Amino acid sequence: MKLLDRICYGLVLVAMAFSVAGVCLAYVNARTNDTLVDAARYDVALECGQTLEELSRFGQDLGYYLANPNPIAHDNLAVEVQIFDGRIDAFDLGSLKSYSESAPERADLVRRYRQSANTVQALARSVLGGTTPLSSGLIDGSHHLVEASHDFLARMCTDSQEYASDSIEVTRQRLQRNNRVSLLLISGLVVSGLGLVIVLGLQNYLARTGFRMQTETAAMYERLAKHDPLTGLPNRYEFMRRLLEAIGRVPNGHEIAVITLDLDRFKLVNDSLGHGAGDALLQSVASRLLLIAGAESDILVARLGGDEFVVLVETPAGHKSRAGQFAQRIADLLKSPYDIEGQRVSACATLGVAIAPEHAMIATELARKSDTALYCGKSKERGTWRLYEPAMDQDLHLRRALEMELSGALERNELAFHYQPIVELETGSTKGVEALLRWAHPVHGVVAPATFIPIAEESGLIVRIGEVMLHHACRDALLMPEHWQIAVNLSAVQFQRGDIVATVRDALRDSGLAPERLELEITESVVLNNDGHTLAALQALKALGVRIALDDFGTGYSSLSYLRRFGFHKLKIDRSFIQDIPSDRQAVQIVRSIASLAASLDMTITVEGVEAREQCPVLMFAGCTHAQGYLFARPAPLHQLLQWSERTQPLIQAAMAS
Amino acid sequence: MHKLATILSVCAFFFGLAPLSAHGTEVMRPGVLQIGGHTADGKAISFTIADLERLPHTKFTTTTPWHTGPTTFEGVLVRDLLAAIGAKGSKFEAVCLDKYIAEIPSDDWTTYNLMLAYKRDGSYMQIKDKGPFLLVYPFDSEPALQTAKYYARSAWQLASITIE
Repeated sequence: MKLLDRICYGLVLVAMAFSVAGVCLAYVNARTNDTLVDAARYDVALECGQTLEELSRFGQDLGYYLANPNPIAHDNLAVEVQIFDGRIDAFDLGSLKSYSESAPERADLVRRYRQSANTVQALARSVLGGTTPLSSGLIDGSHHLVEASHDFLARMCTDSQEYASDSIEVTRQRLQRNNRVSLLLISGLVVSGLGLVIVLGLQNYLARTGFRMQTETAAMYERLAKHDPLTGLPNRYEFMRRLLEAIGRVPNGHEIAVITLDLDRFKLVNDSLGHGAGDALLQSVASRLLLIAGAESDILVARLGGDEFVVLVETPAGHKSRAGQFAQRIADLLKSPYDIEGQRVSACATLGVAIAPEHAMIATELARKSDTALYCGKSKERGTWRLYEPAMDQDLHLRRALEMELSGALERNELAFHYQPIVELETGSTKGVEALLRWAHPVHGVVAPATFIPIAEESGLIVRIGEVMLHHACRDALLMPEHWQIAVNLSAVQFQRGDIVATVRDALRDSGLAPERLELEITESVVLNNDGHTLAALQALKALGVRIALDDFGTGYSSLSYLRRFGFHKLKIDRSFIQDIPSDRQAVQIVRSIASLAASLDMTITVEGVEAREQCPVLMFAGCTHAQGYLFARPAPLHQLLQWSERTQPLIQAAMAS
Repeated sequence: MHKLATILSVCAFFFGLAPLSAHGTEVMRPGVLQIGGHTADGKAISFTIADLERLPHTKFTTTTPWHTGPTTFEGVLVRDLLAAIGAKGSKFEAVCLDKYIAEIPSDDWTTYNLMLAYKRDGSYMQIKDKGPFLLVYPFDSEPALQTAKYYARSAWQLASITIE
């Protein structure tokens, strides 16, 4: 900018130089004109020459009259005398005056000429008047006088030539000087002109460059405004714009599907491996999505923000809907592990699908419903895709309401702790209980743990709730038979946020419960990543004397590897494994293998969800040591549990014995 | 004898110049302007100052090389004079009392206000004052006239005009 300013000033100066030069040139030209005018002026030498010639004639005529006086000659001479008078006086007037005054010698010469000429005139007048008698001597006399005047005039003629030549020379020099000045000014003008052209060119170039830079910057900002900087995908605004545009084509028979997806457990990756890894994961996901989109113009992949992506699938009229197909492909492709910073990371995505014109025709509505479907999917089954249903809106609404309510539920004592007995299969005796959370909302009624536990985890409330639960459980355990173990579920969130070791220690200390009686059940999500922090916490907990059990064994992706990482005390087999027992022989085999595996690793096995009597012998035979399920008892509050224990225990034992 | 010799020598002196002094036999009538040539009826007309004063006259002021400072001339515009006598021509020849001859083309009296002046600054002009008749151009109002060409045409002590 400074350069441009300087250029501007330079231009101004140049313009001024122009004007000044122009004015000077005009003045010089005017002066030159004047000089030329002067040069074309009156010719003194000519006047002198003519006067000389006239004097000669006058002299002749005078002599002629003197020689031959007659009336006609007399009259003519009289006229000539007057004419000659004029010639003498002429040197007092105009240009001749300037000439005679131009030098003292000239003035002297003119004066002497005039004196001599006046003498001639006097003689002529006296002859005409008759005062002087004619004589031959008069002719001589007049002749001499005329000669004398002639002499002076002749000198003046020559001199006036010099005068004329001098003034011409002066004029010539003046012209030459003016020409030189003109040349200088013209050169100046030309240089200024060139300078101006160059400067203008420069300015033009700079302006164009600046303009180009501006355009480029503007384009860059436009790109930035429309695209996500991390992944390069279009951002939310661009997506909404394209969606709006696409919906405009629905009346033509096009089908628009909005597939919203987010990464399950993305937060975990971010927190445990750092934001760098999190970003890398997002980029990998983005590139996988783009792979699916391929080069098709009907598919748009965008990042809405955080770990949320959206895919817009447009199916032209007359074609079959591709939404479900794409959703499945996406879900499958995103499931396979990622290589993030040299580590193997698992992540999967949950997808929600909404379709226009079926579900909505307004862009914001369609996006919202797709998001609702996603939200529903997250709470029900992760890693799959879900098509929007009108009921989902209600579900979502309820969920949102529950979220709000849950935070106050603790204070309002709406949360209750129930216990479900864990029975030794062989003897039928109760060996311990599992603590379970129950929520009875005054308006919504009983809310299933499967519903509110995820909500608690997402909001982080689980930490507070978990803490309360631990303290409560430890205290309640004191009221139970001494040999009973109490199992409390821990969420991965409790390991990520807050100090779980301290919480457990406090609960044990405050209650005074013996640590061996406390069993902490964790799912594979806790040990999902090779997180040193989590493993250290688990070791610390083990060091306290507490027992650690691996819950929902077999439902995750690589449960076996977890067994290697940490020495668990117990394995809990998920209910899904025993649902088809005893009918499904394969299921039995699987259970048996798991049991033998556990046994070989010195772990006890508890099987969950036992509901039928037939299952028991099979399970026992397969190697399971403990069981839990409705067959034995439903989860109940403490006092109910204790009552049940007293009453029904012996019955069960008896039954088992048979 | 001395007298005769002088007379003879003078005669011989002037005899040689006789052809040149042929004009001595003519009468010079300074107060009259002769206009000849292509007049209306081909005959010559004589004008005195009084005659000219009867024609429509104008005046203008100009500087000239023969006068000091701006001078007011009064007289008849040449074109008015020629129109008054019904003369038409492409040029005229002006002959002066001192035998000066100038040729004036018709452009000069049609384009410019060429004047035949008889009064200078309100008074009539003596012969020695370049009168009684003077051809003057309005030098000051027409820069193109300020050249030797026109100064040479500005004849004074006019004796006759011959229209061609």
